[in-house]
Amino acid sequence: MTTLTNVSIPEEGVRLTQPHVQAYIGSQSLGNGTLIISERAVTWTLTSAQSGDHSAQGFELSYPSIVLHATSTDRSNFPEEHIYIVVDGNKSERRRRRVPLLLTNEEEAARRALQVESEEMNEDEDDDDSEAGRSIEVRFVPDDKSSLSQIYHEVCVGQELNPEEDDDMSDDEGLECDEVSNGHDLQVNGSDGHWYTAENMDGVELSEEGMANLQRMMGGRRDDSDDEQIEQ
Amino acid sequence: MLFFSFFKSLVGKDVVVELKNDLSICGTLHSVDQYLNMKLSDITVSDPDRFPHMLSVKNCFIRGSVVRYVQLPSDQVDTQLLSDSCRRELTEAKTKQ
Repeated sequence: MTTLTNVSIPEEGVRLTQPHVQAYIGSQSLGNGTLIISERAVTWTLTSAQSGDHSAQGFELSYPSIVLHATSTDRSNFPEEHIYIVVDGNKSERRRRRVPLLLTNEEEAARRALQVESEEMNEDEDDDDSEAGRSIEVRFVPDDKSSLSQIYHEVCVGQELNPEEDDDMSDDEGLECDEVSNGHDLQVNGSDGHWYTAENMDGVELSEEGMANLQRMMGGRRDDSDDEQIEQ
Repeated sequence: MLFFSFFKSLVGKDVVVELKNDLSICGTLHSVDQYLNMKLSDITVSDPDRFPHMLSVKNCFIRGSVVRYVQLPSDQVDTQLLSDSCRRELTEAKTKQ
């Protein structure tokens, strides 16, 4: 059984409001409602349970929790064409720890409600595998099938508007790749923000003491070789 | 931006995108953006048992941050050029500091 929660209806940055959209989580239908795609999240609200002007029963998917989305047009698996979304159930939980977003309560509740479904889906997986997220399948089935391509497109736009936050690097296994792709991120890592390699050692600035030590070491070595001490 | 440029050069090629949730999607790279969000076309999945509904999907949009690996067609990648470019970009990033 899925419990819908009170979600705030987005008012800013709304890119698409599509009425008469059935929502499914896994194989369970949540009923008929309105799909609202804003720049901040994908929100679905149940039509029959309007609880106010600014909030309604429904659920909300933040863009970072949306692993992938697609238009499903093959009706051999599902009787109607729909928007198919894979949601990372762990994502909202992790984000809750890090950033206190307004929507996290709803996200968390939605996640908990969906957990049963995802547990069924992932039953053959180790529970302690924290990296492999609990994946939840969400489907939006609009009455108006001609809206499918626009829904798909607006979710793409929303994804592009919501890249990972910079502080996501800490638990990102793609750390090295990300560093390479954003040169400036190199500065944030390391104790003093600089990485020294054989190629840029010339630019190293040492303290007076460090410089003296270096000169002694370098000088000493040269003296040794010049003095024929080694040859003796 | 090197990897963005690199992936752009692979548009139209067949790749296998392995996601952090262990789903592997095989398809043709349709497009890629600066966050390495990727659109794939003509997709197939390696384990349809876990995601049976992926079977009825032909194209999809994958969020860049959920990608673990991208398997590339080896004959389409100039590894020498890629590693040289990688070094060059790192050097440039350092000199900018």
